[in-house]
Amino acid sequence: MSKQGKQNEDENIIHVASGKEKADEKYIEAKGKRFDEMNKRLREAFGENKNGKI
Amino acid sequence: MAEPARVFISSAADPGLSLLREQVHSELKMMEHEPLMYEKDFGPWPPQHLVENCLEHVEKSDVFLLFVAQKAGSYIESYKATVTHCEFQAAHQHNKHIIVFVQEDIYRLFWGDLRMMIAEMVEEYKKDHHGVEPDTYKDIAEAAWKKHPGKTDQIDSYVWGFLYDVYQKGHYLEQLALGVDTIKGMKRYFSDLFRKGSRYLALKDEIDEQISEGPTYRKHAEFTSKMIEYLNDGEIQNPRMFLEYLQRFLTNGIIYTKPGTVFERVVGEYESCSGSTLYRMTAGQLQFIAASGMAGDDHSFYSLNGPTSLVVKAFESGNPELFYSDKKRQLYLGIKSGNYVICFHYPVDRFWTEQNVRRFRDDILRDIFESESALFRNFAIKLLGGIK
Repeated sequence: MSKQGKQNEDENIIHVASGKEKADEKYIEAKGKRFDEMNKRLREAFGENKNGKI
Repeated sequence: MAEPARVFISSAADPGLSLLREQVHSELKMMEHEPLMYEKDFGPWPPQHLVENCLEHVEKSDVFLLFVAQKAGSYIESYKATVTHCEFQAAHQHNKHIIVFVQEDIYRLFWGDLRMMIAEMVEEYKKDHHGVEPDTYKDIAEAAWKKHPGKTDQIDSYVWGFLYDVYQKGHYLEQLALGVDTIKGMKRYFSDLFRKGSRYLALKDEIDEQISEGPTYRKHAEFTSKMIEYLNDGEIQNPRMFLEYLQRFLTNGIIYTKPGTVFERVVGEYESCSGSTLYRMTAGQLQFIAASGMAGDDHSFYSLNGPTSLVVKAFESGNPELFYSDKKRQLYLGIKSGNYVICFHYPVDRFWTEQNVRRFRDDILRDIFESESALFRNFAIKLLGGIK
């Protein structure tokens, strides 16, 4: 097992910032919401007729 | 500048249609559209490329207006179709808006009899040919027309096969009564087209966005299914492959500053994830599990009490942590999930220095999180949080 000692590489790495918890999730939720809203608008405009006739 | 709609007028050289073609052409011009009609707007030059020339004009058009009456027109053996049929096929393949007018006698015969006769004969053909469709409906249409009690030499049998193909491809056939307000009916069609088009145009941005989103969700469905295959009995069976597969979905991106304002600008880019490492908390230590891509596997473990490393910091924080190495010109995103810490490596361009990374750190975090990759990264992180 190699040693933990190779700290010199990590020493070159600086901490830049802390992200918010569940940052990915917030973005995904917003994206999903937008998708649903747009889909609703499109269905209202074009989806009322099952034959696809406008 | 307003661009006129190019309307391709297609029909066989049928004497019964020549006056109508002329009228339609001049009406379209009066309506400020751009009609495209053989021998009027383009010609049989060079004669050896007659069909290709017609097809090129179909491709350039916006609307394809087809008139079908008694005559089928010239049959081209190499295409196994008439020129008009080739034009229709090109319009169909290039997703043109197609409007089909069929002379009323022909329409009645086709809709009442020939359509069903040909459909039955096509089914018989398929039964005899292992389910394969015929290359052309020419012979079947000829046989059907021969059997029909109303057969007359005035009507070319090919017309029935052509109409059957148009019908099969889902295009609506409109009856055309020659001489009875034909032009008025046509204008009404164009008005209807304008009405339909304006409804789509009003939602063009939404339609474009949904189209671009579609492939992402399809990709995500495949991704989640594959990722779950790496799990067995609550454990990752092949952690390296798990990371390698995930890495493929963590793509490059652009970092903007002051987005959504008049001062918005691109400050730099980050490349696709070049590697990742995975550690698991075991007996007070973060044990190395696997690495993917260009990420090294130098550290077999990190002690929580030892010198601070990005892996330990991400584990202790619980929030996503961003790090940077000027020497490697690389960003590191460390995220804890359950007993695991996963770290993603993103190479960056020459703009980035320690100073610039610190200066634009909020922009970097935002643009890494608010990208398509978030869908994939988030799923993997959630999965890690729920396994041994």
